[in-house]
Amino acid sequence: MSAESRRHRDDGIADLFSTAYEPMCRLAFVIVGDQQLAEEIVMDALMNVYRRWDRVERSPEYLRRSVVNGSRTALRSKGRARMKVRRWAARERVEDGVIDGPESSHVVDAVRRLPERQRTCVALYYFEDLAVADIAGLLGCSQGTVKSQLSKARESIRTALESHHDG
Amino acid sequence: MTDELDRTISAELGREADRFGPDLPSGRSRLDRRVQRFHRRRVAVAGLTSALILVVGTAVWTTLDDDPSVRVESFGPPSPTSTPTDSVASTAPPATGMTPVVVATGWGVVVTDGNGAQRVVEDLSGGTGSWDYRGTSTIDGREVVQRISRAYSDLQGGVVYGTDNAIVWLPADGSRHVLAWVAPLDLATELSESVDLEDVVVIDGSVQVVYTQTTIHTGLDFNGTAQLVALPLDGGDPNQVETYSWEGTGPDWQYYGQVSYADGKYTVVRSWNQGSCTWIDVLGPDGTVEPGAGPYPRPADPASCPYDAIEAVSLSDDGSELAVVRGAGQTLERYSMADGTLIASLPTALGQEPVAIDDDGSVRTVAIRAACQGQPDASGGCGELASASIARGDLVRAPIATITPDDPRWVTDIDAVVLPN
Repeated sequence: MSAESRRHRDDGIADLFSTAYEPMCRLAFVIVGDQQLAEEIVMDALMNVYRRWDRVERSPEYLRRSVVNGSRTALRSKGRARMKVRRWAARERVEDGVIDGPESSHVVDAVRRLPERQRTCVALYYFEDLAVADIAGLLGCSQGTVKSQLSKARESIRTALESHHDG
Repeated sequence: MTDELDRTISAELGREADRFGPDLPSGRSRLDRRVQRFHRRRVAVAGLTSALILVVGTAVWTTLDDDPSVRVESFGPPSPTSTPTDSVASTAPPATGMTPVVVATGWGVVVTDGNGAQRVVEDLSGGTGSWDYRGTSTIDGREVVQRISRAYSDLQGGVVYGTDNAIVWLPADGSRHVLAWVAPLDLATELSESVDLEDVVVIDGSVQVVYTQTTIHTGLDFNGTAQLVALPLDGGDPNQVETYSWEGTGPDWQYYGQVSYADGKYTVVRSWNQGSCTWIDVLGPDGTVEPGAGPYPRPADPASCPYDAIEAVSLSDDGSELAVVRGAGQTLERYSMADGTLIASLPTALGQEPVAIDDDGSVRTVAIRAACQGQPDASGGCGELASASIARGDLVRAPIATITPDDPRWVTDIDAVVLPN
């Protein structure tokens, strides 16, 4: 890699960081619910872009896909252990009477309880504001599948909220 | 109603995201370091090409981190079926004072003795000042993420640990062997692979590393294959204990907590639908599930799960008893494997896995309280080792780490415990 090529790549990744790091962290956070994990996922995704700069230069779509796949993989594998740790930490805070920030809403709690597939669709549809066709393209499935996942997710969230209000 | 619900979901997710303020200067600093490492590694790999030609049949592992010096060590062919070929496996007994408890951190392998004293047997840390969550290395020219999941002090005096992509054995002779590894995760592709160290056990007199290897094709649904492998450290052939595949939207059961082995049987904690149901399968040596065996067999309908969350299992050395951590770590239980009856139960609130059971006459059980995630706990440390003895009915807690975040040995994950021999 020539010095000029590297400079071009370094400048490009710096630009991408300044424009995309924060929104991508928020997207990953909405999906995985863990700030540190979200930042790790986005950092990995940025390095994916950097390594493949010649092919995917500054591609926001590539970065988003990388972040979504990384978030879903984290939920499925290492994320399990991390979430157990979070559960323990949350219990500790309750025992200690320590509240370290505003509570998540009942809606967010309901979203976090959704199966991973539904949760990903909800994050992309309601938070990223993507169209169903775009979500289908990103996740490699049909639009009908996305619609059915969103429908099931809505029903689960509605039921959870009604149960909370009744309780 | 749907429109109102849609608006509510959008608004609440937006508010939730606003709670998260990424540390931009720190993030930029981490990215710069990752980029620098990437370029140093490229140079190092290019320089190693000629050496690789001369060392046919061996792989080369370079560990760079932020240290500009490059360490190059040889080990066996890097495939799941490989065994060390380039150096004689150490059979030396553990050194005097060899530690009974091994914990893994996000930075290196830290060994902790019974008094809580720690020493680093492998330092994977890099850099000073602000810290990366995880280090990286290059194996055979490909980047491997050093997010250590478990480490074991083994009968042969070495340490075995797992990263996202590799199972590594460090014998007492100081050599290093990659026992299994898969391609680094590519977040943007449809494929991800991982290896997970499950246990180090003695099977038919041979010390063996038990690990799982998982390949997942992403998309909206995850299709994948997982294998449970027992690999002898003495160079014997690996035993593919069990292989299963899943696809589509069906139940996504998988290995979840620990795998334990004794007396010809494996116990495996399974989960279904992202942990909405967990149970314990008992497998024979060929991987066949013994229906109804053990205290928490697979339920007929996981959707109506009859069990609290099962976190960890450990068989006693003779396979007659099983220790279980259950109910989000709230309870430690001891069961007879003969008929699945509950022998004793102790409420502990210890936290999660792992658990180990040792039948030294008193049936001692040890569990590790979970480590915090990058944040110190109220005592300024991060993580706590606790010992619970069902036989005595007591619970002893002691902090094991008081390392601060600016220390390169900062403990981010504590995952494993091995009892003294």
